Amino acid sequence: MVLPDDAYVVALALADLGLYGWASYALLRPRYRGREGAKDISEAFAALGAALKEAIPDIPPGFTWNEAVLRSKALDLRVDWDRVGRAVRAYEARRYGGEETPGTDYSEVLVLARELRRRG
Amino acid sequence: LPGSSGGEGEGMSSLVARIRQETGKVVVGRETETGLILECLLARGHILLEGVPGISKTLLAKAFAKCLGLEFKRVQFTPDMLPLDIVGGFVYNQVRKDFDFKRGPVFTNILLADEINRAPPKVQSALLESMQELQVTVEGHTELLPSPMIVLGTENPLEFQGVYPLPEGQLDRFMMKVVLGYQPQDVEEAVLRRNLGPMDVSQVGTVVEPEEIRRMIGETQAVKASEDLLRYLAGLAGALRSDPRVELGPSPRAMVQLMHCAQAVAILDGRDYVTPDDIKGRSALVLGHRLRMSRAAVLKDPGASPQAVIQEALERMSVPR
Repeated sequence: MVLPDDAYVVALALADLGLYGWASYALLRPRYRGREGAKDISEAFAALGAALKEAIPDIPPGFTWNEAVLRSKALDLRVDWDRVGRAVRAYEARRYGGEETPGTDYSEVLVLARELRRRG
Repeated sequence: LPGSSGGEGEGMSSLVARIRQETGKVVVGRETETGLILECLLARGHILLEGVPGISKTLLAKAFAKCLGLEFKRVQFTPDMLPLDIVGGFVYNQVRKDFDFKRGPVFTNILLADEINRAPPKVQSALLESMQELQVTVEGHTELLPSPMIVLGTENPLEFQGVYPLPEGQLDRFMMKVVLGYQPQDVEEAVLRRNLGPMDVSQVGTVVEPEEIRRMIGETQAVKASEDLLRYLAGLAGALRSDPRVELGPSPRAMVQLMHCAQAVAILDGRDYVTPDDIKGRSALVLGHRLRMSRAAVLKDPGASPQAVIQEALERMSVPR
């Protein structure tokens, strides 16, 4: 079947749009998924703390964030641990060093919290 | 733990790596201990190394001093020593017909007090003022010690004859007690390989100047510890002192030294603030040798150790998050 030129171009453009749209969604989804659950990094870590207690009931009250991340890694979760590590570092700089860390990407902390809840 | 945050931190991390690399030219498999000595130096503390003879305690101390460009002296402690053998004393000068103060070996940057528990208590206590005040007073004459100054005490855990166990007051002066054990077989093979040819401390290069070390000590003192963490430290002290298994808990000096040590850990990690990990990671090393278990606790559970009690307290106490 031979399509008129205009229809052919429009079909290609729609296919392109669909493809790029899907690719953008796939790329950005991990970055933003879960962010709606916390309005700042403190809330994100509070959510992680609650999820940890659900998923790892035997975690001692004296756990630190780095210890919690280490325990979580053993659960073989689908999480970007580098990004979690960077968020922990930024949160600690703010919490213990009083440093402002605007624009810190803490979305992966929420991903970790969600994964932990799912596992728990 | 996360890595360096960059800038000054990268400088510190690379410095630690260079120190480990240089000392590693003559001492194999003691990277952790090298790092701990550096922490004590930055935190203005002293370190007690416990281990059987021949596990490179002296070599480690010499190599450490060499790569930091610091003056090093070694004193072999024996039962017939006198305090003036350590701190020095007044010697009659026949020309001037007067007494001159002759400085003892404590006037150095790094003092290796070898087998410190073989010296009588009078000599051990002669070190007290030097370690705490960084000065020596003899017959009303006071002289300041050079800066920085760190005592590396060693003791052999297996000797019982002719030794004078360090009293609590002396132990409390040591920021850390580190037990050096035998190395794994592959490391021992590397030690043998390294010693096939000529090998001495002259191979170790100086990677940092004493002035730089003094600057780093100043920066370590400026590392921040939040109010929450100070409260956490005080709570930890209270928890350990009130533990029924503990007869003697950590002193206020012990907690201050734990805080200083955490500051050193932080700065070597490239941070200007202390985290709970810094405190927890050094608690057993800084507090373990200062705790005395009650006789009843040891009889009830022969495996009960200060380290286990500290670990339990750390797990029980909620950290400021």
